[in-house]
Amino acid sequence: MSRWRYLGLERPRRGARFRMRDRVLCSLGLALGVLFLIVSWGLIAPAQELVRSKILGSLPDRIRAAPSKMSLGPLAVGGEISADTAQRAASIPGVKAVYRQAHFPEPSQLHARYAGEGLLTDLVLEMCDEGQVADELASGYRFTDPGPGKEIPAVVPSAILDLVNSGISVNTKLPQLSRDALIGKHFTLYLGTSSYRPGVYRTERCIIVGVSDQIGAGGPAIPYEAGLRLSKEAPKLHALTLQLEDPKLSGQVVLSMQALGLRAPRMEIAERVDGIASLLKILGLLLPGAILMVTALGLTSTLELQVTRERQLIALYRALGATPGQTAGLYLVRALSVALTGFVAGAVGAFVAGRSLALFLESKLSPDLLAGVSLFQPPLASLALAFVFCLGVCLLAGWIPARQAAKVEPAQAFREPG
Amino acid sequence: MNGSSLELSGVGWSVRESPREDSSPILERICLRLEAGEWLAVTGPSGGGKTTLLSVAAGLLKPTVGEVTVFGRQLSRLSENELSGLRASSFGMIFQSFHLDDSRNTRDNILLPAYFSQRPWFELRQRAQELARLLELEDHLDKRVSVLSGGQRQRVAVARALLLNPKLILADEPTGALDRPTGRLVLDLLEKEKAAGASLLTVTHDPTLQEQADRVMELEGGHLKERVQTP
Repeated sequence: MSRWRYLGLERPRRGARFRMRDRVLCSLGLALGVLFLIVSWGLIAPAQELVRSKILGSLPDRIRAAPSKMSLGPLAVGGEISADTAQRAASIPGVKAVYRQAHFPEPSQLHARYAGEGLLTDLVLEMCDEGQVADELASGYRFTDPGPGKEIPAVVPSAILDLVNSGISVNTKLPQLSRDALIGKHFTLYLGTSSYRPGVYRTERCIIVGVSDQIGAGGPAIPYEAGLRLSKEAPKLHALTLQLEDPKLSGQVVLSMQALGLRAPRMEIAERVDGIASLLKILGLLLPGAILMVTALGLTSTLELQVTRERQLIALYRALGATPGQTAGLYLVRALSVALTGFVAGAVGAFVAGRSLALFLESKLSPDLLAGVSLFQPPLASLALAFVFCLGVCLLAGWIPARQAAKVEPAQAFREPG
Repeated sequence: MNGSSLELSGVGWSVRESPREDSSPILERICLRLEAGEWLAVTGPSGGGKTTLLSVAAGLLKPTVGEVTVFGRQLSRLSENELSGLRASSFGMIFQSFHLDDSRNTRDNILLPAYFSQRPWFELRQRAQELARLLELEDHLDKRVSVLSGGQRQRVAVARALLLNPKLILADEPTGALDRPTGRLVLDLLEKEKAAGASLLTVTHDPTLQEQADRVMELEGGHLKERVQTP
């Protein structure tokens, strides 16, 4: 290793030529860049994952299909799915089962009690097949029509639970609603009336048997057959859920769906979320990039100044046997030491800042909304990118001064005033 | 190998003030041969080119004409890296203005050439300690050189030049800042190196040093002339 012994000349020591103030200032610039990069990417990645999981649902073998939109200028109107389309969707290769979902065709209201308070609200009542929510039913419950005069099982959309909990946490001090707290609770449906379409109504008692992310963000869902029995009009089928034999077949199934005039709106939104996340990641690079560039200019100027001040020392090293490459190496090592210090300080700072920010946000949001996801998860790529950036920027910044050092003519430098 | 350590054949060096002006010669057709184990002292008036002669001999300045040969190797044919390697392995240079690194202590200054050498670090540390003892610098090893006196700084420069047991010592006024007793220490040390086979080219005005040298030459007006030693 004696070949690299000359690098020992740059060992940090009291009175060293690359003074602590310069080193700290240059490293601080790099550390800031690294911090912004890791924190922004570390927050974007879990947020993207969380939003995706909320949109796509927790079951990867399901595709939610909706009719293609009919556009009228700026308006996009949802259509209806025919029974024939539902049957044809079931015959798409790779599709194991098709579950129907429709709006209850009459106006409806929900009445429930929570924390001693009565609640009466208009709602969009959904109807769906059991298979669509079977995986999320509480144990011991079924999601089938129990027949007249009996409690009707109902499933609450998890999106509504998140929404209600957000409202509770912001506006009240009431305890948050959890899935377990809702299971087995009752509410009453007023069918045939609403605040905007009052009418003669009949009531049905319901029991909550599950919380599901498979039924969209409308109102609670009751079994499809129960909806048919209770409604006076024929329901309009507005969505299908296709259960796949293998989640990997989703792309191929979506293409077949399009041939039937169906779209996969959740997948489309998820793709948009991915696009937005990628854009945010690029924006997250711009600020650190600018900071790193400014730091690089500062580092170049600092090192150039040092080369100018140390011409006699460089001449001495050359006279003692240093090669031009070794003298250049000494200045590259200085730049490298700034890169490493900046990277380590920035990475440590990013983890402290990112984790603190995530803890703060997590304390403000419902645990059900987060579903156990930590809001700060820096991808390994952000660390690697930050490291490569630091290294590249510092080597580039050190290159010009290093070349100047290598070109110092010893005899000429010795004659200059010290 | 012809036995000479250093040979200058028709070496000239001139400084050009500007590209259009004629260059003014500092060294003119210098011919010099320094045998292995020989001590040559060069004297002459100030501004006569003595320091330039040493710089040319060390390969720090390229002669405008002529050739410098060190241990049989023509310097003009060596690459920068080969030249650096030759300096690290064979040269010991003592500068008139010492050129110490004021940010380091005495020990680190003496050890500076070790950073460019392949020899074991431990061995060189011991050698540095020994040189410091011989030059009465032992008590100052951990002091910054910036607090040392002129004479002490010169001895540090001498110790640094001798650290790697160089085969060719190029010294510019090695006793210039020393009183008689400490000057004696340095001369004894140089004599010891000579006895071990080193060749010495020293630039000096010091009569004691001139007496100790095998030969004395005078550099005046760019020309080098042999001076006959009087008994």
